[in-house]
Amino acid sequence: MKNTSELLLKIMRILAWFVFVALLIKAGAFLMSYGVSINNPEAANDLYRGTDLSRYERYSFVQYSLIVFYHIILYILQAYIALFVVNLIKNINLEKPFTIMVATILQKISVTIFVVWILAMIHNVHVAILERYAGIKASFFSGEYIFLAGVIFVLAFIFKKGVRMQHENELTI
Amino acid sequence: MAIIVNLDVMMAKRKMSLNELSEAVGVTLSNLSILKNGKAKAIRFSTLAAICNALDCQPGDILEYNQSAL
Repeated sequence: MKNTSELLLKIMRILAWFVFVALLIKAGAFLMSYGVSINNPEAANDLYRGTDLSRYERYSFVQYSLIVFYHIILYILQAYIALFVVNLIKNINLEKPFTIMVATILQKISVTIFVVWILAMIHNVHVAILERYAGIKASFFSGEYIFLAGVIFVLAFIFKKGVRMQHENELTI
Repeated sequence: MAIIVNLDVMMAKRKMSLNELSEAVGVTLSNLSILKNGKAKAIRFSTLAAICNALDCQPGDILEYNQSAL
């Protein structure tokens, strides 16, 4: 049972590393394509695996740059969350899982997801305004991050309470 | 903490070492040290009764309330 859990954690850690690297590559590719699109606007047609932001580029370079940077920051933040997951799995001890470090990492994950949600909302408002006033077809980011952030925050809170109770229990003679 | 543990005083009065008390009470040495150094968060009635029995004293001899330490 213990071996199965440890194996599962190892696989999850490798997967989290994979996601972290993949998201950084995605952000890097986006940044590179953006750099190319400064001199060659054609590149805006396919920034990364079919992401076409050329309609913004044709309208205004500043608006285009802002929307590209929303994407890049979002991917970097998602990579940051993946890194937290790597740290979480690395620090978790199955014998004694309730530690303040694990609770803190969980809380950091929820706060970062909340920041991702704020960024996604700013992006969505921005593209909605552009759609309304410039007639550019908008594609929105998902707004469900807030739900995820809330759930993880509640879990982190319960976890912290558990850590405190475990600590008190250990110091009860 | 407002509760002060005077276990060391009682042990000295009874000329009992921590090892002897640990054996008499059935509490590990490390847990007794936590209690003696005032780092414990709580004490079970059963442990308190066992300590009082081993040291032949009352709970008030071991525990003291000090308002200024709040």
